[in-house]
Amino acid sequence: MRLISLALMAAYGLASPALAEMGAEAFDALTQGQTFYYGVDGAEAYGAEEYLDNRRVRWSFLDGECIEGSWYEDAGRICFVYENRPEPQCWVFAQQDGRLVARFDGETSTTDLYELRRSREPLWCLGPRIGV
Amino acid sequence: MCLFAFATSLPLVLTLLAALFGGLWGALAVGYVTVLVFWLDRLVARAAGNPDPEAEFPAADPLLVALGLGHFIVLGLALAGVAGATGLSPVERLLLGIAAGLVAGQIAHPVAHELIHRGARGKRRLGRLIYTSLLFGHHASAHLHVHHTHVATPADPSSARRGEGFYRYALRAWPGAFRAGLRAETRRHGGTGLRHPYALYLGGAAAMVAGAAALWGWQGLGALGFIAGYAQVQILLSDYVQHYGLSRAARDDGRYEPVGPAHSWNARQWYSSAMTLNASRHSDHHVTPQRPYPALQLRPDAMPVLPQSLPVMAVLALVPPAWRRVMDRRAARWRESSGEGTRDLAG
Repeated sequence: MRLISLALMAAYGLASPALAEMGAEAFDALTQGQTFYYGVDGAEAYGAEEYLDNRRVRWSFLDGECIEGSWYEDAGRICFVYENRPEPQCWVFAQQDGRLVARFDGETSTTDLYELRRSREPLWCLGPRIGV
Repeated sequence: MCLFAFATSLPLVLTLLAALFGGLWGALAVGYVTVLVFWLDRLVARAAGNPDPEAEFPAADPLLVALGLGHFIVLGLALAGVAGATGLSPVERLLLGIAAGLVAGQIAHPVAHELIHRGARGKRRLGRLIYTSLLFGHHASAHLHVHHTHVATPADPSSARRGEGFYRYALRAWPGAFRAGLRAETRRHGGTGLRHPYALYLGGAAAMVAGAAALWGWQGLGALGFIAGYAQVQILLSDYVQHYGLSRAARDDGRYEPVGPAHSWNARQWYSSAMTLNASRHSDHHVTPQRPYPALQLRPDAMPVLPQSLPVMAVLALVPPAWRRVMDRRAARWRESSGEGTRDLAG
């Protein structure tokens, strides 16, 4: 999961229900071999992530450009490290009504990302920087 | 960019000359990093401006790589010189050791720190090798995977608690960061093995020790211990100063508020900032770790600002009672404004 400047409307002090965080095993079992499309609830997907074996991932903003990464669990959070970005980005994942919800570390529910759909199809990736 | 290049490379060159020729060069190198930087910070009035945060600095990374490679040349020559293999006098050897330790702590550390944050694998590896050459490789892992994700919470061994003196902090933070970094990397790489970064840190450190002993015997070991130990104390000091007494408020869901400008200490002094590649603009580094050092922002209205430059505050931290007298009230003010104080009252 990758965060770019989501409009951070985080209103501090707003009650933010705690998520029943998923651990590494549950997260791996749920996601491996599939591609999850994420976005704000009710809007179009803003990005998707394909979950591979050995906790490797491939993220794309759905523009044909994909980056490789991997994840690990840290204090109830799932932290992602991508090849072009060494600082881990940690999210709390939970299941709500049968779909995955992701909350960026420290944020409130106002910035939650939801699983909009999941698929067995691999992510659509062009080769490395073709024609750009 | 010219200022960064000048302020960082000059002490490296002076130390190189001190290793090659001894004489006055050692005194000049030590004097530069300490006395001259202090007076340039004080006497030359220069407003701390903010660059365009989106501007590109094409020379920023080549300078890092050049300084990173230069570090190994200077370190090698300094070890030989301090070990007495090149015929320097005892005073020259002492001055060279101090100069090399200062350069490793004040320049190689910021260079390595920038490099481990870069996207390209080769640059990250160079950063890790610099820390490894100072027998402090684990810092590269602990900084990214523990310090950045847990800063200003009890889970980060490198964030100094309020009331904690530097010596107590150093004894806690050194092994704490080593272990926490090891845990994070082991989770990441699935157990042990040669792909584990700690294999590089420990193997590299062993190679440094064995090399120094083989080349120069006990004198070589002493030289390595002095330079690396001095550098490590400075790295610990900068971590201590940069987050002392600041904490992120815990929220009802058991998590902490996001990392913000209020969770690091900053300094305005222009010359020591240039020499340490804007290490003094630490809040912005934690909020936007991807931002290259020339573009880091300083906003004294929204960020905790130290009363003196980073090097001066680091010296002050060596005297814990004096440090607490200067810093505890300031830290308390920031805790209150960031919401932590109200929680204290409620609790």
